[in-house]
Formats: sequence, C-alpha cells, structure tokens
Amino acid sequence: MANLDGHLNDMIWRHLPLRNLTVALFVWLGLTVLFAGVSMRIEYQRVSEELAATGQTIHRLISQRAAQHDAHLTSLVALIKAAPELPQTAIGEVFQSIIQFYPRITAIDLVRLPVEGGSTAATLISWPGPQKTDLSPIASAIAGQKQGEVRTYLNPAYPGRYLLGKRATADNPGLAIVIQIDPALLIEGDERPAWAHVHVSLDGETVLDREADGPGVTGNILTQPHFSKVVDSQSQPFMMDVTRVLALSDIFSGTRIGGFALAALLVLLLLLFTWQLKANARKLQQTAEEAERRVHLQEHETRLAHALRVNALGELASGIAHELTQPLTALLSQSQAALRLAASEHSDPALLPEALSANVREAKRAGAMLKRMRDYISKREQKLVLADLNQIVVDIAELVRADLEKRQITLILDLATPPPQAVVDPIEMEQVLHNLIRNAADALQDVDMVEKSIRIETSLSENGAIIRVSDTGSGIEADTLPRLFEPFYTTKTDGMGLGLALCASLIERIGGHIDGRNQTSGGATFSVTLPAVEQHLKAAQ
Amino acid sequence: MKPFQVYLIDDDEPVREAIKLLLRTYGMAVETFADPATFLAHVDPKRPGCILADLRMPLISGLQMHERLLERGIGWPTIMITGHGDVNACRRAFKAGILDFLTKPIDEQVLMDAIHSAFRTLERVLEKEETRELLRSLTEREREVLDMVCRGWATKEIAVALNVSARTIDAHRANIADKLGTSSVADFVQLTSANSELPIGRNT
Repeated sequence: MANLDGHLNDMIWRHLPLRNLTVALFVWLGLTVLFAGVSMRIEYQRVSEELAATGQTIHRLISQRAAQHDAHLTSLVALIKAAPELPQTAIGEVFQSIIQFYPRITAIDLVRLPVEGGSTAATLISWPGPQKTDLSPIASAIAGQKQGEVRTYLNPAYPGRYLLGKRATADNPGLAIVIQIDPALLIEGDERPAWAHVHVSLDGETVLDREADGPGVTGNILTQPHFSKVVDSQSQPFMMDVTRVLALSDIFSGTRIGGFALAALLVLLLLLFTWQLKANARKLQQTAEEAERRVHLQEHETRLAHALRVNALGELASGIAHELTQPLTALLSQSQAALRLAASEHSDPALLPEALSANVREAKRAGAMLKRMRDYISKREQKLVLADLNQIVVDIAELVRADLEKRQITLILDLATPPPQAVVDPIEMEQVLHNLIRNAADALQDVDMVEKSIRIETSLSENGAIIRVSDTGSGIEADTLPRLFEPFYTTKTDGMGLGLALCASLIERIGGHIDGRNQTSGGATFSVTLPAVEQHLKAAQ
Repeated sequence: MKPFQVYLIDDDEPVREAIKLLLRTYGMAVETFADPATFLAHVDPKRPGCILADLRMPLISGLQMHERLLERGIGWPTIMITGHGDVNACRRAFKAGILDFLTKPIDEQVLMDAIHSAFRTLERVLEKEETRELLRSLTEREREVLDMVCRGWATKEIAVALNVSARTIDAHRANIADKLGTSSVADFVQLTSANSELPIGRNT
C-alpha cells in the first residue's frame, strides 16, 4: 500500500508541470500581497478609530478640568466676596487644600490689581509661598477684564505654566485671583497612551506638547491619523491635537500575514494537487477508454478473421470439391476403360496395368485432398462455455451492420430479458449466425422492395434457448425446403451449398438443432434451438 | 456413321488420359489439348469432330472457346463437362448453343450416348453445309423457281406468275436439276427444308 502511495506521489510530482507551479506561485504572491494590503488598511482603520476614541477621551478630560478651574475660581471669588474680612491665613489654607487635591494647580495668588495706568500688582496671598510670582506682566490685562470673566494667560515669564485670571471685586483697584496651572498635568499618567502625541495650543502658541514615547516614534506613512478639537471651555479655548506617528511596521502584522501566506500556500498546493489528481485520473480514464476501444477493435478483427475463415472454409470446400471430381472422373473413366480392355481379346495387353496404376495414382491423389481438408477443419478446437446469447447476437450484429447498411437492409434485434444462456462455442455460434445473416441478406438482395429487414430474436422456451433469424425476402421455394441442410445443395449462383450444412453440423454437435421455414407473412425464418443449461448440466453428469 | 475425330480439352492431365483411354477402347480417334488456346491454335476446319471441353479452365473458359470457334465458322457440336452441377452455368451453356452438359465424374454410357449424338449432329451439320453450298450455286431466278416447285406449283403456273414462257421455266428446272444433282421434287423439298431449319440442339 505504501509502495502504491509512493508510486502515486512520484507520478503526480513528476507530472506536475512547471508551468502550473509557476502560475500557483504568482497566484499565491498576489493573494498574499492583497491580503497584506487589506489587512494593513483594516489595521490603519482600527488605529484611526482608536486614536479618535483616545482623542475624545482626552478632550473630555481636559474640558472637564478646564471647567474645574473655572469652578475653583468662581468659588474662590465667592469666598473673597462673602468674607472680605477673612484672615489671610484662612484663605491661604483654602488655597493650600485646593493645590493639595489638584496637583496641576501649582500656585494660587490673590493679587491687588494696580490702579489704572499702573503696572505693579501686589500679591496679597500666595500659595505656595514664599517664592512669590511676579504677576505684574499680566496684572493690567486682568484689570481690563470684565466682571466674572476668566481669561487664560500665556506669558514667557511663566514657562511651563498657563495662568487663569479672574477679577474678585469690582472696585478699583480691585482684587483678582490668579491660578497657575501646569498643563503637563492636564492629562494624568496613563490617560494618554504611550503612542499618542498630544499638542495643546492657544492661538498658535504651544501650551503643551507631549510627544509619544515608546515604539513607533518615527513614522513613515504619508497620511498620519489625526484628531483635532477645541476644548469645550470659554476660558481655556485650547486647540487640542492628538496624532499618532505610524510606521508601516505598526500596521503590518507579520504573524497574521505570514499565517495567511502559509495557509494560502497550503490551500493552493492542495488545489493544485487535487487538480493534478483529477487531471491524472482523467488521463488514466482516457487511456483506459483508449485501451478498451483497442481491445474492442481487436475483438472485431478476431471475429472478422473467423468470419473470413468460415468463408475460406467455404472456398476451400469449393476448391476441394472441384478438385476431387477430377481424380474421380479419371478413376471412373479409367476403370470403365480397364473393364473394356479386360473384356476385349484384341486390346493391347500393356494398356490394362497402365490403366490400373493410373487408378491407384488417382485414388491417392483424392486421398491427399481429403486429408488437406480434414487438417484445415481440425485446426481449431471447440471451446464450450456458458455464454450469453444476446451478447453473441450483439457482437455479430456489429460485425455485419456496416455491410447490411451498404445493402440498405435494416437489422432489427429483439433480445429477451433475462438474456438466454447456453453452453456453446461462441465463435462457432458467431459462424452460424453469420451464415444465417448472410443467407438472409442474399435472399433480400434479389428482392425488389422498399422495406428490407433482417430480424434477430432471442427467446427462452421449455425446449431451450432459441435464436431466430428472419428476413422479409420472398421465402424458400417448396422444393428447396427439404434439402436446405443438404451439403452441396445450393440455389445461389456462386454458392457451394456448404453454409447451412456447416451450420447444422455445428449446432447438432452441441446437442442443438436448426430448422428453416417460411413465414405466413412471407420471408424465411431460421431457428437455432440450443439445449437449456440445466439439460446440458444433466447430460454432463 | 463416319468415324469422326474427338477433340478433348481439359486442364487436368489424368482426366484427359483416362477419357482418352476409354474412348480409344471404343475405337475413336481422340486428340487431347491441355487448354483452349492450344486447341484454337491447332484446330483444322477440314477435320471436323466433336468437342469435349471442361467448362472451367484457366484463362479461357469452355464457353468462350465455343464462341471463338463459332466466330471462325466452326459450328461443330460441343459437349461441356464440369465438376459442378451448376444450374446457371448449365443454362448459359445451352443458350450459347452447347449440345450437351455433363457433370464429372462422367459415366461411360452417358458419355458414349452424348458423343454418338454429337456425331449424328455433326453429320447433319456437314450435310447442311453441303446443301447450302449447292443452293448457293443457283441463280436468283433459279432459286425463285425452285421455291415455287417445292410449293407444288406446275410449270405453267410458274410461268404465269413470273410472266415468262413455260419453256424458260423448263430450262431453269433443267439447270436446277443439273446443279443439285437430282430432278426429283421430293429431293428438292428435302434439301430446301434442311436448309431452313437447322437440327441443332439436344437429340434425345
């Protein structure tokens, strides 16, 4: 079995054409590239969506925190307004607690704004002390703010910070609360994924620029995914940009594409293999059909050879018969001459022995001829087998069909089911049927009619299996009927009168019998009756 | 009966020799030929005989040989012998004017009957040829007169019919008697009738 498989494999691979392999390779490459493209596109899409979601989250957080700053300012202003006499330390404690809870608020100052035209601001309370920030650069601007307005200040004087200012009182010079915010803490620790580059700006000035850290810092993709939105805050209307610097390697999933490539390769090879198997099977089938056809043809040739041998036997018999008459003629005449010589007293005495020795020669000549014919006939051994008579009829029909068609004779087969069987020599049966069909065809030859047909019928009766050959000719003449199977009796111009005699002897040899008669509707029918199989078996026992 | 020649043509030598031996025991002169061509080359019209020929022979068949002989004016009776009792060949042979058709092997009696019959036929054929020669020597007018004489007309009647004198008719009759070697009206009738109906065919 293993050997067989090995052989099969060997055969398949040996016959797998290089062209097919090349085509498969290109298909595989194409598929892989296509898959990589689609996969990267999907990955890019996913990354973009992730970025958008992250952007939304960060935007929401910053917006919330900006609102918190507003709220702190509002509550602080309210505190100052409600208790103008509150000791400074108490206010400082409030500042401290706020800063404690909100680390991004780095400092809170209560300042007295300069009088109109002035520029110095006096810090009243500051946390964390004691290093007080000089808020003079923005003090006058705060002084110009409307009541209740919160404004963001970016100033080179406060690097890494932005300041929010709000007037606390409406008097002049009034008070103002200024809180300093570390924008870096607007986004806490893990709120920003390592890949996200967050840039916060106000009117083009950078407030915060948090570059991405970790892998994929450098990108080489043309269109980088990008999220951009203005923070929802009137006081801090920052422009927030979140970008992700993508490298091809970020969206190129080696394992996925590699896995696909491998799978595709396997599937393609499997397809190729299957296709090849099919092609081989087809080829094998074709070869088998070819072989079958050849065998069929050979069978035909063999049958034809047999048919020819039957003909040849007929011709030989004709020749032998003709030749035999010669020695017989010589024998008869010579013997009669010898009788006369013996009776006559005046004859030449030398003539009589001469005539007699000539007779001996002639008798030997006749014997030699008979031996030749016997040799020919006994060449073939009879081979009896249990045969399907329908098959024999079909075989012989194939053999004669072309010839009958040429003679415009229709051949009708009427075969019994189940097929009748009999113990016969198939070749002899074919010879018999061939003879009967030839006779029928010859009978139709001389008839002038439109419908010329020969019907071959098989049937099974109590007496045994029967094959009938009928024609639509003019039938058998009354004086011919009793002599049908007599050797050398013929009504044909060129016939030897051996065909039917031979048929009869072949059929009778296997215990069957043959008869010929006229149909009531015209035409002749020859019936070959073969002993039933059971009878034959009984006889054999 | 005159002893005629027997010409035997058969391609089988033992057959030729056997039949020749048998015929010789009857004292017949037999000449044998292995094939029709040799016979056709050697046949002498002045030595009439009966022809015994095989129907089936290589190159030229018995029937073809018979036809060629007829073309040369040799109408000797021919007996066909054949190895086959072939009905059609037999029919063709008789149509061609063959005297008899025998199947091999041939019985002595059948063969002798056929040959004797052939000899009689040959005699008549030769006689008829002789008569034809005699009648051919008559002039047109003499044949006319002879015809009327045979019908039983008297000299006067003939003279009236031909619009000549009776004496002229008498002169014609004298010439006719001179040429045919007889003056008997019965002989005249026999001669002319022999000429008109040829006794060719099977004589049983």
